[in-house]
Amino acid sequence: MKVLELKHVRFRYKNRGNYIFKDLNLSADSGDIILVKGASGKGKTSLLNIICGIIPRIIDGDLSGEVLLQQRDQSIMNLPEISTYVSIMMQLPDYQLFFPIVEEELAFGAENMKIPPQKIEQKIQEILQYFSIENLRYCETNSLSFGQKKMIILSALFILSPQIFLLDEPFNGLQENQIDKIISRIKNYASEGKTFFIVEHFDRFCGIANKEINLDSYEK
Amino acid sequence: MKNSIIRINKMKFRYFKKSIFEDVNLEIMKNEIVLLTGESGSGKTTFCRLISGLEKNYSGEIFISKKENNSYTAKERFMEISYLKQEVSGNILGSTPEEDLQISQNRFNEEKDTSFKDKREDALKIYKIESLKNQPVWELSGGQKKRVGLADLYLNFNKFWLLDEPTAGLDNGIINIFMEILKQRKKQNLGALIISHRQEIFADIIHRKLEIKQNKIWDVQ
Repeated sequence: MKVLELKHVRFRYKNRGNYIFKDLNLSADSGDIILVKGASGKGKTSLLNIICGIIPRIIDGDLSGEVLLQQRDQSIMNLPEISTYVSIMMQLPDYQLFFPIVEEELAFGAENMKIPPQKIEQKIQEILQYFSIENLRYCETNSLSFGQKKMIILSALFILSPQIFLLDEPFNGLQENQIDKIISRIKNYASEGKTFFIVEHFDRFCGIANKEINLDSYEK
Repeated sequence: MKNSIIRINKMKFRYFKKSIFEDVNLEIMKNEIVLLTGESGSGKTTFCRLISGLEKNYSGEIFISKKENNSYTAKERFMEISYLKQEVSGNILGSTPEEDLQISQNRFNEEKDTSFKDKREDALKIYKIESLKNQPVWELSGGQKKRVGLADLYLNFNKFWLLDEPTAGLDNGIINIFMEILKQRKKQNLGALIISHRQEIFADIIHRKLEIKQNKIWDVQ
């Protein structure tokens, strides 16, 4: 099933001459793992921001063309509505960590989706155990290292479990055994129908994707 | 004669109640290229912060070249060590790449050199960001910001480099350029301490591998 479609998307940031995308077309099905490639500055992060609606709702610019989420026009949805389908992991964890304590951070998204408290508790326990980071549960998010912060954000995303995961350089700064666990969970979720967009430079991850978008090949 | 850049005796460090380092002893030579590994949260970045003088409340001794770290001024320490932080924005002071490199050149040198401009051009060209030199840094992507940090580092070629995840967020082309620079430095006996989870990239260039484990720093064979 088609979960996302971009048709003739054209975009440039406010007050800038160059278009990042002139005519971008893509579609994603449930179960897809899509690798987003391209040199820096080619629009990898911009693409994720368009899909999750941050562009143009928070970051201004000229956006035209169509973005269809579950075959519905995304441009008339508001951010809370989009967030029930799409979650993003940003490049830098500090951009999106919000709560003083890890547990609160993990529970927040799920609480907003009205998942019952017992269920949230279960999910928190399960994911922390899976990544072997139970010891971080009551830590201050502020006191964590870069890699630990990233693990918390990934955990929060897996707890929320939206239809579409947008992961911007998820593996940067993480240790091998954690990367392996993340990959096997991604494959798992994809086999259950979830869709992943992964921005990553590291060739090792090309193997897990079934589709690839190379933004270098789109003309500016 | 021994020529160490970092010499640590019985160093302890904690964040509030949490112990990060207990009784660390370590010596790193000026010409050594060392890979520092350890699990997330083990203290790799904290180690860089201790060496670069951003954390001062340690006990024991940390010598940089021949002087205790806490007796350095920032300017003096900068003559010995250049630090590339993991967070890309942490490496940029100016509002454009050009301005950032200018600040880097001028803040620690009273006399302005006419060759400065050429050096800046070189650094920008090497990392392929010359076309972005007057672009506001907040409009740059993560990878582009990283390259500004690397260009800055290039201006400090002769110092010992502390590199926290230097290749994260870079495409392979740029990583190759960076590795070439490390190789050039190696030939000139210029050392570096590198934190990276991508050990395979650095396997051929390093002299030594260290691991932070159980609050200590160990040599790994």
